[in-house]
Amino acid sequence: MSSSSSPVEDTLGGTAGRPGSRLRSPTFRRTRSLTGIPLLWALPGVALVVAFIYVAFGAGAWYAFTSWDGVSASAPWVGLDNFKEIVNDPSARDALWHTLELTAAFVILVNVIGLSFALALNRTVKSRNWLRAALFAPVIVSPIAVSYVWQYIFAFTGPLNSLFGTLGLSSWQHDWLGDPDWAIWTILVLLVWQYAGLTMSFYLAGLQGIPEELDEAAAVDGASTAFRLRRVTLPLLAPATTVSVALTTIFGLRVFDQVVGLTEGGPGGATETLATQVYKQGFVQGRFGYSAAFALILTALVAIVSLTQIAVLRRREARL
Amino acid sequence: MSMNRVSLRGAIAAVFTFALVGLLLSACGGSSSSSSSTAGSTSAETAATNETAETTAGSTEGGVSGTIRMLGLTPQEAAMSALIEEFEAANPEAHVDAQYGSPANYYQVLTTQVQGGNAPDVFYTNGGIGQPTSIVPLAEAGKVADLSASPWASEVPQPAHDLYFVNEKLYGLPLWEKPLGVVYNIGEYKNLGIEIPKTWGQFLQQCGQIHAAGKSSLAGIGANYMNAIIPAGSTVYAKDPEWNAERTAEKVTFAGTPGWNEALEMITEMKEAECFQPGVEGATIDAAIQLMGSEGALGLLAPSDAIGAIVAAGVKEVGSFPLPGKTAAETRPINAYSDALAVSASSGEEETAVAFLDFLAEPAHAKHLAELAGTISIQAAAKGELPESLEAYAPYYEEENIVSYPPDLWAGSGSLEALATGSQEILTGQNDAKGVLEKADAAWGK
Repeated sequence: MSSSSSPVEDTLGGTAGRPGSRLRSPTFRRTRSLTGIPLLWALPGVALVVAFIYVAFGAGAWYAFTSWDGVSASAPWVGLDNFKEIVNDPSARDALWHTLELTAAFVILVNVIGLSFALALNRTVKSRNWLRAALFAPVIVSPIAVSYVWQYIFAFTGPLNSLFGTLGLSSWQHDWLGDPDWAIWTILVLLVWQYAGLTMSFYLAGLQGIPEELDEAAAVDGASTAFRLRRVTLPLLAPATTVSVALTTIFGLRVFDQVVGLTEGGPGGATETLATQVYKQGFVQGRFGYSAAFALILTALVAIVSLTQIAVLRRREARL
Repeated sequence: MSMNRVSLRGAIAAVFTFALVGLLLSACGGSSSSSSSTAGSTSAETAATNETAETTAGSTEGGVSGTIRMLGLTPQEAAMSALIEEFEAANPEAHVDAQYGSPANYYQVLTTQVQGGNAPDVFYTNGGIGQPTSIVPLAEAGKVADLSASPWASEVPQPAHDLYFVNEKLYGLPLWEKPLGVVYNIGEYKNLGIEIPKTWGQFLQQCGQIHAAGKSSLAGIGANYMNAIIPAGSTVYAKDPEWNAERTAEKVTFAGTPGWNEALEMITEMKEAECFQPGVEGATIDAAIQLMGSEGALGLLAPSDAIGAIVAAGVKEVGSFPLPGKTAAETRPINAYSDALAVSASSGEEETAVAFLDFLAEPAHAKHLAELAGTISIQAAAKGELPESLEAYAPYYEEENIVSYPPDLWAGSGSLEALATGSQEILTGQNDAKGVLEKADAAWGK
C-alpha cells in the first residue's frame, strides 16, 4: 500500500493510486461521481417525478387547448380559443389582479412580521422555545380546517363582532366576509396569521448562522441597535431572505384553501383568484379545457415571478 | 478482490433498481389501460357495456345480495337512511354503503369520482343538462346504466321526459317532485300573530313586522341562485312558459326580458324591506339553517326538501308556501323533478343497484321517502295527494299552474352561477339587476 495514496485509491487496489495515475485525474474523479451507482439509485425518484409531475403537467397542458367537459370520452381541439377568452373576460382579469395584490401584501407583511418574531426570539427571552413553538403551530394545521374556523370567527354574528360589541366598540362591527372592500383583506389576515411562523423559522435559521462577535464588535464601536440591524444583521440574512421571499411569493400566487374556506371567491367575485378560477371553471362549470388554460397561465406566472425574484435576490446576495 | 466486491454490489443495486422501475411502470400501464377503456365508452356502446359488466351480486331466495356504494346529498341523509334500512331489511344479503356530500361541493366530488373511473354504484344527480354530471351528459358519455326495462319507467311524468330520457332510453330514477318557495316556521308566525302572505305587498309588509319583533323574515344566503329563480316562476315563466326554448334559440335574453329584471329587483326590495338578517351578503346555507333553528329568522327561500334540514335544526312546525307574486293570481310556484338517482355504467353490482332503485320507486316506499324528505312522490303528485307541509301548493298542482324548474334545461351551468354571484352582487351593491342579467347572458352555454 502506498503511503501517499488515498483510502479510496487503496480500495481500488494496487498501482492505481500512484501519483500521475489516471485515478488521480480530476476529470476521472468527476466522471466517476456522475455515472454508475449514484445515478442508478436516483433513477426511481427521477422516474416518479417525471411520471407524476412532468407527464401529468404535459397532459394537463394539452387539455388547455381543448374544450373537454371532464366527462365525455373526446376532447375537441380548440387551439388558442381558451386563452383568447381569458384575455377578453373581465372576471379573469379581476382574478389576476386579486391574485397579484393579495400576493404582494402577503409577502411584505408575512416577512416583516416573521423577521420581527425571529429578532425578538433569537436570544435572551427565557420562554423563547415555547413562544417559537406557539408561533409555528398555525403552520402545521390544515389550511382548509383553519379557514372554516376563521369563517365562523369573521361571520357577522361571530365571536369577533360579539367581542367588539362587548367592549363597547359596536362601530367596529362589520360584515368582514360580505363586504367586497374588506373581504380580500380578511383573507390576508388569515394568511399572515397562518404563515408568519414559517417565515420566522427561516429567519431564525439565518440568525443562528450570524456570529455574535460581529454584532458585539459593532456595538463596542458605538453602533446603535438600528444601525447594527441595517448594516450587519440584514445583509447577513440575505440568503434566508431569498428563501423566505421566494417561498411566500409562491404560496401567495397559488392561494386557494383560505379563499374557498372564507368566501368561495365572493362576495360578487371580489376575492376570486387564479387558483379559485381553475377550480370553479373545471369542477363547478365542467369546463376542464378552460380550467386547464387558467392553470397553465398560473403556472407560467408563478415560474416567471419566482425565478425572476430568486435571480434578483441572489445577485443582491452576491453584491453584499 | 476489492474491485470484485464493488462490482458485485453495483450489479445487485442495478438489478434491484431496474426491477423497481419495471414494477412501477407496469402498474402505471395497467391503470391507464383501465381508465382509457372507461373513457372510451360511448352512449352507443352503453348497452354492450351493461351486458358485459361483471357482476358479483346475484339474486337469492330472500332478495338481492351484495354491497353497493351510494353517494347522496347531506340534506337527504335522514330520509335516505331510513329507506336504506328498509331495503336492507327486505334484502338481508344486500348492504348499501352510503356516503353523503354537502351541496357546496357535491358535484365536484361526483365529477372527480366519475372521471377517475371510481363512480359509486348508485349516486344522486340531477335530471337534464344543467350540470356536467346531470343525467343527459352522463348518458351521452356512457357513464350511467340504461334503466328502460325498469317496472317504473312508464311512471316518469311527461314534463320530466326531457330530463331523464336520451334517445328514447331511460337513465335515471326521478326521486320525487318538490315545489320551490318559502319554508316558514309556521309555529312562530302563529305566536307573532302574522299570517302567511299571499301577495308580494303583504310579504314585504310582514318583513317589517317581523323585523320589529327582533327577528328576520328570511334567513338569506348571499350567493344563492334561488334568490333569482324562485321569483322568476311568477315574473318570467308564468307569462312565457316557452322562455327556455326561446333562450336556447337566442330569441330572448336574460337582460332583455322584463320578467327577469323584475325578479332580480325583488331581491333589492327584500333587502330594503329588511326581510333578510344582518350580514346576509356573506351568509352561507349552513349559517341560514342554523339561524332558522335558533328562530332568528322565520323563513328560507328554498326547495321544499329543506324542511328536513330545518326540522333537524329544531324547528317544530314547518311548512312550505309559494313565494307570492304581485297578486295572488300571478303567483306561480316552481316544481322540480330534478332530484334523481342513477346507476353507474361501470358498476360491478348493477343487479343490486337496480333492485335498490326499483325498491325506492315502489309507491309505498316512494311516498315514505318523500314524506321524510319534505317532497311529493311522483305517484302521489299524480293523484293530487300532498303532505300536510305542502298543502298550500295543492291548488297549483290541481290546476297545473306549476312551472318546471328552469335551469334543468339551461345549456351549461354558467348562467346559474352568474345568477348566484349576481344575487350577492345585488345585496352588496356591486351591481344592479341589468348588470347581473348581462353577465348571465354572457355565461349562457358555458
